[in-house]
Amino acid sequence: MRAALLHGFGDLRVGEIPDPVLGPEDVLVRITRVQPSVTEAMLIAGEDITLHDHLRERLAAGSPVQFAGHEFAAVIEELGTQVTGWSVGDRVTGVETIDCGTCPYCTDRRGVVCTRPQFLGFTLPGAFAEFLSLPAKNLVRLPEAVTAAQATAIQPLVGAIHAQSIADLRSGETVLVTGTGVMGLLAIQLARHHGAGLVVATGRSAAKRELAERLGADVVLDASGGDVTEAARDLTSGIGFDVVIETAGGAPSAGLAGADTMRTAVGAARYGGRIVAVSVLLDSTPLPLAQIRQKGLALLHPTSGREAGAPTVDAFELALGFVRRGIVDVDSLITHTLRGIDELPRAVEMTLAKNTYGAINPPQVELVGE
Amino acid sequence: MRAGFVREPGRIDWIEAPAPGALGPGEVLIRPIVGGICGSDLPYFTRAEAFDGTPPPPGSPLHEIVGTVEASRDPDLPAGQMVVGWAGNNDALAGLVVTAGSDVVACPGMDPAHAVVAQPLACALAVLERLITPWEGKHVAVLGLGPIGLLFTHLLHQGGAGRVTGVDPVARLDDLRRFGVDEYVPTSAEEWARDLAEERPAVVIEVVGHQFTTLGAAIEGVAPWGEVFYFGVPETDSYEISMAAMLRKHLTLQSGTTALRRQHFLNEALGYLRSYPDLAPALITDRFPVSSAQEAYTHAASQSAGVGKVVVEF
Repeated sequence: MRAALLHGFGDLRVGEIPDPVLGPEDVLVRITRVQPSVTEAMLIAGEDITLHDHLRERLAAGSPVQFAGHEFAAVIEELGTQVTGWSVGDRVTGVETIDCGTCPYCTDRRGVVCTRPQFLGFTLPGAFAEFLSLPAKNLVRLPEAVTAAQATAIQPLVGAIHAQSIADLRSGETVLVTGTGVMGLLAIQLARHHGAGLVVATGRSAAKRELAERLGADVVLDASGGDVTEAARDLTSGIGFDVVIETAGGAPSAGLAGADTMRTAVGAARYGGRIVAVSVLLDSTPLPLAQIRQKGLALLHPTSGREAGAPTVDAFELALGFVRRGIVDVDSLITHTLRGIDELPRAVEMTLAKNTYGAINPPQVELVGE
Repeated sequence: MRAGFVREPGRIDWIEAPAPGALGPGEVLIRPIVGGICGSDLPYFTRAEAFDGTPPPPGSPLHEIVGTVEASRDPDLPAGQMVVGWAGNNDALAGLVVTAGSDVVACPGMDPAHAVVAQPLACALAVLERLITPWEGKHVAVLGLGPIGLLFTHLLHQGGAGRVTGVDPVARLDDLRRFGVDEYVPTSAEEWARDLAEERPAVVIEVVGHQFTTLGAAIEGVAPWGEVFYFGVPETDSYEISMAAMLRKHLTLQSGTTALRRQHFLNEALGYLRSYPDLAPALITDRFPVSSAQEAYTHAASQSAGVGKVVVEF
């Protein structure tokens, strides 16, 4: 089959590799649509963020690495011998986090806190390929009303749901969302849906600021001119925000706002407030600890995967439900679609320069038309 | 009035300082009886600098106090009562000190040297209340077994933590089990984090401060989905931490001081000390007359074996 192979940092090419091996509890899916994540694009570029060391070691081992692709839509092509409940032709997406099944938590049936998880597209082959083999337990069934494009964009919404869940937002609370990229725009919609009293966003792009307002932000501040901490805090009569969802930070090479965004988040939070770190910051980021201590803040990092908040809630099903019922608009975020597997490297390149291309979501690549 | 003054690193002079002026609404004038030396006081003494780099004012550093209310503009705290709590400006190394009435509570009938432990204990209680991770039944580690670290371990053990690990290269006091330490690791925090097996503490409380490495060790050592509480005092405005580890492990990092509900936590602490009457006597290893404050601070700053809570008696 054909797949995207990373030959070195910044060198992603589509090449020929053997078809995936199908285990008895696995399912082989044909990828219909996929999009790079900003995190994947940063890792491909060689940025020193989470999992960089892991990727560097794999590249140093010699062979090109099949990398990227955890945000996708697919159709089941073949079932492992022990798989039940699924049929060839079912439309699916997948949960990127795969618990190991052997660590103390997994053997105690608490796989959600597995200490040795694997991640599709990162530590395991992903959907930057024609086919993908993944455990049947990681499949998510797509409702008929949800398009492949929406399904491909569902994983970031799951991340936003996890962020919302850990923020523990209470009705009427004030929320600041730093950044009006995909994660910021999703956070705005979820904060609105969950009863925030005031939703303020900050963003550098005029078009995205306009979209942020349309998607539910009460006030959107222009961050292109520099620090907006004071302006944001003034909107709460100087008290500061109950919750800050930080989505703006990250590698400037990927068009993100660097590491100072955490300083904005800390400065804008109220005494005793909560900051949810959604952005993927460079390792060894200076954290304004003195101010965090002085204000008694909690800095929270959301989980990933299927479980969200309550044991009965499947975050993927919840996200698909939000899209199906029109509670969250992902269509407005999907600005660019490329066609054919050969476009995968270009999609990554465009993801690293979304501002240049006027893209909001990373470009999606359609491999098979619906 | 007489007041201690850290004129140069490691040296306390006694000088004549102006007596406090008129009390503001809600304030009380306290004549100190006992002061407890806190770890956060020590840099003021050893460097003759407050954390912002300015010289410590007369009376500084001392904020853990038991004293008698001499005058009051707080209707709930009449003159003559013995109280325990915070000297809000950290300036109680003096004949008189003014603080907010809401920073102290009455502690009648207690040995003042024991009652002063209620102040750091109140801070520890406030931290445990703020932890987001349910720690009952779980493994919790405390980095730094100075006096307040040992108050944390005692509270955690008695509060139902599954296992309490204490990490400190120096065993400051004997028989750490008295303070709830189930497992003592006599190494640096970095070594502890590096050598951990797969089973890791769900919560790590950093009670060292003043440098970065113990926070880094806490982040490295805590279990995925765990929580780190940074209780220590940071020396600089910002510390570089591994955001990759924070993200990959989905960690919660909290920090903070006991700025609110001080009377609530002080009363809770006094109740705890009455329930565990052996705790304060076991923690307090040295009592110095205030005239020997320099020796008291020097002794506390040694942070060596046998040195627990050091108090000065006025």
